[in-house]
Amino acid sequence: MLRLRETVRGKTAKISILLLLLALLPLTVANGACGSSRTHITVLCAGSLIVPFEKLAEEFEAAHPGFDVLVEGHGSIQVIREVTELHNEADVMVVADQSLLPMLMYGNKVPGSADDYANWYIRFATNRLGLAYTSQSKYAAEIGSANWYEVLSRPDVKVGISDPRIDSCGYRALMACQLAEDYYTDDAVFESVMGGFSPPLTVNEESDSYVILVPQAVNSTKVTVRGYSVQLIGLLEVGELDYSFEYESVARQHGLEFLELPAEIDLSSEGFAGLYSEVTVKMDFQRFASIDPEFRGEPIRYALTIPNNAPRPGAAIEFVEFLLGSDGQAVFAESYQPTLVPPEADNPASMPARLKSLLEE
Amino acid sequence: MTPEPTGDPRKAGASRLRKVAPILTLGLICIVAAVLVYAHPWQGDASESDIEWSLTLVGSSGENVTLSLKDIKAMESAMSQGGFFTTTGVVHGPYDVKGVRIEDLCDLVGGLGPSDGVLVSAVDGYSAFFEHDEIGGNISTYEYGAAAGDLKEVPHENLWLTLMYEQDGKALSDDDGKPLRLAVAGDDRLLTEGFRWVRWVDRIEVITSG
Repeated sequence: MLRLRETVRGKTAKISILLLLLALLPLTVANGACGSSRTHITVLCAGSLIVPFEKLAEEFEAAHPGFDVLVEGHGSIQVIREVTELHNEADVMVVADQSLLPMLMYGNKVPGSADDYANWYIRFATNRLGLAYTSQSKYAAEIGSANWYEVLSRPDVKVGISDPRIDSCGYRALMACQLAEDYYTDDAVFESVMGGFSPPLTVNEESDSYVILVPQAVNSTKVTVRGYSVQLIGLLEVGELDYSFEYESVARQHGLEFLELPAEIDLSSEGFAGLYSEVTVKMDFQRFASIDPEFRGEPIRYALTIPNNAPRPGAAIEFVEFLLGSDGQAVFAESYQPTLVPPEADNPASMPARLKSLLEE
Repeated sequence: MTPEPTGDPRKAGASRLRKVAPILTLGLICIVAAVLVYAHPWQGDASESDIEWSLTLVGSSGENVTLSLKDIKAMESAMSQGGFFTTTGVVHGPYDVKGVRIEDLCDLVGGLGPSDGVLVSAVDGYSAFFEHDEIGGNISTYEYGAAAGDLKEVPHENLWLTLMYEQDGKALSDDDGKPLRLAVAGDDRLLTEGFRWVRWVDRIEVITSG
């Protein structure tokens, strides 16, 4: 009988184990966690950084087998909204406009906490605006930094920009055309390159500065407007466009020709920050209730932070160290993404101690 | 043969209960796990009409109508197909879209004039504006299966804006914009830009341009 009881107990145990496994199976499969105990790191980055960040994730995982990096690309404002308004989790956040982090995260409290969403950021990369084209683009053999606006104004040349209401590359293209008027001392550059909009884009001159007003609807008979720059690349490649305004890194990552514009126009140089700030783009359309749709010209500076509600701050620090270190620099160089060496922080006192040493040359 | 011991029947019952308790507990865990994983109760089902949600429609002359989800589902529905891609070219869908056409909703507040557009807004403060010809389907479409950087713009026959409440035969999940999302879809399984697919829609306003 004792043996019988043991057998019954044994059967009970086996059935219990079987049921436990059955219970755990769907959870395991659903979470995609079969055999994986790696620490996840969620990185939200600006869309124009997606190529280097996917490479960074791959190389970081190879060097750190205990981590699994998930990279999601969004527009820069959306990167922040994902955390502050949609309450999705992120360990590292990277935007294409450094001013957005203090604007939207500093002083903005994490629900149920005394902490701001963030209180420091690191500037670590730059870019420049220019013209992407192919060898098949009309007048490709004659376009240069002295005559680009004249080539683009020709009626048979098809020009593209990303939607200035949606994409930072789009409103920066408008800024560049306005800056070109002063640089080339030609008041017709903006209208001749960015013409054909109905209702029109208007430029108001206000005591040494220019305000470009973008209407609620953006439609042009001359300029092709698409939501995202990735769409313009496709159109360039099939010959539907001759030129599009793009960031240098994006154009080169896709194997396109890239015409550099003078530094006074291309929004790359800290030395011309004062000049860039003379141009503001103001939208008639408010896409986000929380964002004043007004953007002032400034040098393009990519910035990152680890939000104060990051679920895995230690892992985030590990990833940022890799990104800012020599391995990360190599990935950025391969991806034609210019970097700031050493990187700069706006508020080093609030940063994790381990990251402070990366700010020193 | 030794007879089975006969003791207090309450003790015997308790002993049996102790034996089957783990099985019952695990069985319960199994059922709960299966329900959580497969049935997605948080996602609801297609018949979920009584979610508290208000959609405000505003006409060009300021006329106002508020509809519940139930009211919207009682309207004539439209079926279409379409998907979208993100700023980095990540493709979502295409989906089978069921909902109410935007023109039908606008008809409840005076309709759309020849120069009218619509501003579609959501509870999270996000908005997208559609010009009159975009409401009529004049929106660039892309081929399904295109990868990032390799998006192929293709023409389309019919395309329209739908206030979607069912995606692939199911009510929308929270992430997909439960309970109402703006979808750009038509007869073909084509893709459009994701910024137009407004989630959690709670307001549609007719705006006269110029």
